[in-house]
Amino acid sequence: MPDSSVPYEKPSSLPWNRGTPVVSALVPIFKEKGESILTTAKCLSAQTWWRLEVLFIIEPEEADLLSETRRRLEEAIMLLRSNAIRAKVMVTDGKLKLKPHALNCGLKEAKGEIICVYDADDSFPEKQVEDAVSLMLEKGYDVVQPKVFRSGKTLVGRYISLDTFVWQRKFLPAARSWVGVFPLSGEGLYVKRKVLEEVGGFPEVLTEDAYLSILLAEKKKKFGLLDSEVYELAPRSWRSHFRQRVRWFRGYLTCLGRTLKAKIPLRMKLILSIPFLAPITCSFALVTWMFFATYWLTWAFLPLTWFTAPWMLHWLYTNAIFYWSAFLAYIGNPIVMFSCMHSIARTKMERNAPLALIIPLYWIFVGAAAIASFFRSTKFWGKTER
Amino acid sequence: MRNATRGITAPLVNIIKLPFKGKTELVIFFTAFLVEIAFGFYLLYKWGHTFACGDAVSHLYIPRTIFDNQPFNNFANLGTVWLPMFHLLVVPMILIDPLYTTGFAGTIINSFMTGGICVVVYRLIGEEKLGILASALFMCNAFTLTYGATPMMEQTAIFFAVLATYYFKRYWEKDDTVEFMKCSLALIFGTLTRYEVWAVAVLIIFFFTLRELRNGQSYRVAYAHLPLWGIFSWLFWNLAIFRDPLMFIHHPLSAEVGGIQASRYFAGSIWLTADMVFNNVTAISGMLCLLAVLSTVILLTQKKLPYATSTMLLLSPIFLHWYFMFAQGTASWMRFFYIGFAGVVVSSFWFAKEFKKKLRVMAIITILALYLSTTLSHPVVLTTGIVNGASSDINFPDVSKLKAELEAIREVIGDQNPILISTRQSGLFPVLTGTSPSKVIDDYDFPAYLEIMEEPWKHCSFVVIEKTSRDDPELKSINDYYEEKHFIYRYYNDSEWRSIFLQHYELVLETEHCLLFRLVESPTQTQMDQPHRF
Repeated sequence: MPDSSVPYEKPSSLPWNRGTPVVSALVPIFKEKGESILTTAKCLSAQTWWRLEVLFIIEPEEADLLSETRRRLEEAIMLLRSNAIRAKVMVTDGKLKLKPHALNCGLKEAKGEIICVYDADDSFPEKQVEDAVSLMLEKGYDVVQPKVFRSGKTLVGRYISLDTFVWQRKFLPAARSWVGVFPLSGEGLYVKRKVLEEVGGFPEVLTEDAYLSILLAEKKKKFGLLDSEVYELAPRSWRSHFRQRVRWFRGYLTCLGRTLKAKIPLRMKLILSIPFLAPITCSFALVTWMFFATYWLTWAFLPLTWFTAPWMLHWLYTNAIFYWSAFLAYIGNPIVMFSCMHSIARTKMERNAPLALIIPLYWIFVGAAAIASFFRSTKFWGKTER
Repeated sequence: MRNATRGITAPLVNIIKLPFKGKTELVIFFTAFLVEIAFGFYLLYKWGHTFACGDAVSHLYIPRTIFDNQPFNNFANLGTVWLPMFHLLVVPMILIDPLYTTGFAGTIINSFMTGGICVVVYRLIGEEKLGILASALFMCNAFTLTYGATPMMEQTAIFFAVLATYYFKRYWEKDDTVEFMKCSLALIFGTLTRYEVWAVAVLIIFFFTLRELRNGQSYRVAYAHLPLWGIFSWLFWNLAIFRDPLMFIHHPLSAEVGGIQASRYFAGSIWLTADMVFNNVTAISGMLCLLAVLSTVILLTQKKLPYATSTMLLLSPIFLHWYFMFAQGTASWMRFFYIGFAGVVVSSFWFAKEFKKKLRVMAIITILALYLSTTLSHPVVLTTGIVNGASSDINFPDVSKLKAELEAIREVIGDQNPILISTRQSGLFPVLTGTSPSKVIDDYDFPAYLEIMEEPWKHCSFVVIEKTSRDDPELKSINDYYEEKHFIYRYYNDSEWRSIFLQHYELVLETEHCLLFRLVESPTQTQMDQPHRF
């Protein structure tokens, strides 16, 4: 059982005496802005780990050498090569427009013993690759994940920032401490190549990162949390965030099904199911909120209890839905708010405390995305506008 | 075998050790806990129960009606006048009949609370020897022993108040919002235990907001609402169950405390109220209260703000009741002032902490001398079970007498049911005679209670009418609350209803406080509605 007091770790020594593996950074590109590509390229070029190769993977429609994306990619490659980092652009077979499919195409070309994944627009410190490799070698981890923060200056950006902060600070360390595994994130993901090949590469589903954690858990692989950060731009608008949430939730539903079937200990199954159940709990929460609003309007605020809809007398409502709604309203909301405020206390994020006051409203928005996720296709790479 | 035993006991020991910071705290806690339990057994031996007064009985009856009050057993029975936390804490205990009928269920809960208070007092003092002395002084008080061994809510409220104060002091010293959140959690529980803690919560919010604004950290004010969550939830509860968020004020039994008992004699007189407060506080803590006030003033002038604000928080219940006496003329029980006793002890020992070596010894001797100045009579309280010379409702013999009276009624009734009983007697009869609340019809059987009160002869084999006067103002307000259908009010004031009642019932027993009526013929059927949904 990993030490619960130090879930995020830094390597204590450099890995020279344990070998110097080649690291392949896969950067899938799809409808990205030029400056986003350069942001990631700059961070990669500044890395202190010299045995690094970078593969930008693009879709066939962006392969045209005259396209804006391609020109920026060439610029990025020049930058990387100027720092003695091997870099190249490769084009997918175009059979499936999903990020994991692109990653699998990249994996075929990659030469590294350790594979890492970054997105365009990611920023991270110059020692991240070195620290991740060192930690993997030192502690024998098969997969390592740094903290991933999504931040933005708009209201939606600040909410996502708050949300990911709580996720990184509360859930991930707790999950790792209790069961040794946690849902992986697609940014800054480090995984040993042979481990990846053992599970057949990146699973070609919407949330391949989370799905991969189930497969690795089944193979009893060692998960580690790296004390280093990846910063990603938050979605540009509420609409864009809604789409992102819908995609995540649809992916989580796939992951939930796989988790229930997985041959892993029950405790691990339960912990992994918590986030994967989110689309169901969030959508159910929104529906029951509506029931509860009706209850308050009819019972507590109207002068007479004149309105009793037939469904309000149904046994399912009186024995289950009512209590579920009451639990969410009186226990769930305070827990979410309290947990959020507790996570940001003592940190720089404390400045966002006023936002935490209306976080239940944000969760109503998330609930709407959860409902929409039930109707989303699983075969399309929904691009998040940042 | 030894390894197996160790495998079981080691995690258990670790869990027990978890809330404590070292052996001293563990020893303090268990000493206080065991002393209270032992005192509870002493009360059982002497009086046959641990109920200090009628209210103590009600505090066990209410949680029992949540589970054992067919067909009206539901959470709505937590009611509105009394805050629910103590009732919820005691729930696991009241399911065991001997603990429920003797009051020992409350003794167990409050023994834990006394242990907790002693540990927090020790931590607040911040020095080992002084801390042990302070917690011992708190522990050895007759009122601590009594309220820690009886099912009353004061001890539980004090625990949450001192815990909140401890975390607030830590927040102030470390400038750490996590400590403030812990303080808020304690306040959420505390504000759901007794209304005095509401004042502590408001003061804490005031100090917190002021401090953060002065430090230029206005965003932190977003945390200020956390201590109010308990209060908000209580208002919501009242709105959800009674359609009135302030029902706990508007209820006739609240009016009894706030209005009917109010003596206009005190209202507006600073001297009379001061005298009354002084009498009550000195009866509990001797002249130590003067040192506590002096200590607070010194801490304030020295600008030791974490200490000064903490003493103000802990002493606030005393000043709150003083205000109520002054503004409304409300008569206050001594136990209301007892809630500030922990503050008196802590601030006095902080005074001693200011000195070194010989001067400190002198200060401790002064503390003991002041404490013993008027508390030498405390052993009398413990042996007689009554407090004389102050407005105390501690009266163990009275409860024993009432128990004997109600047992006589129970003997006549036998196993027949249901019995209609008045609002003011509800709780006393079922608990003290060990009768299931399901067999008794009282205000916890709302809304059927209204229907049954109108024509009890259709539903009840026996009716207990308490002896009172027809112009009893409390009875009048209870009657108004129950839509002018209250059977005792009608018995004394509605001659037509009374004559019909007497056609159906015959008087079979008269006791000091009650009249017991038996139905001449059996009720034809019971017509009870289904429980109302909330």
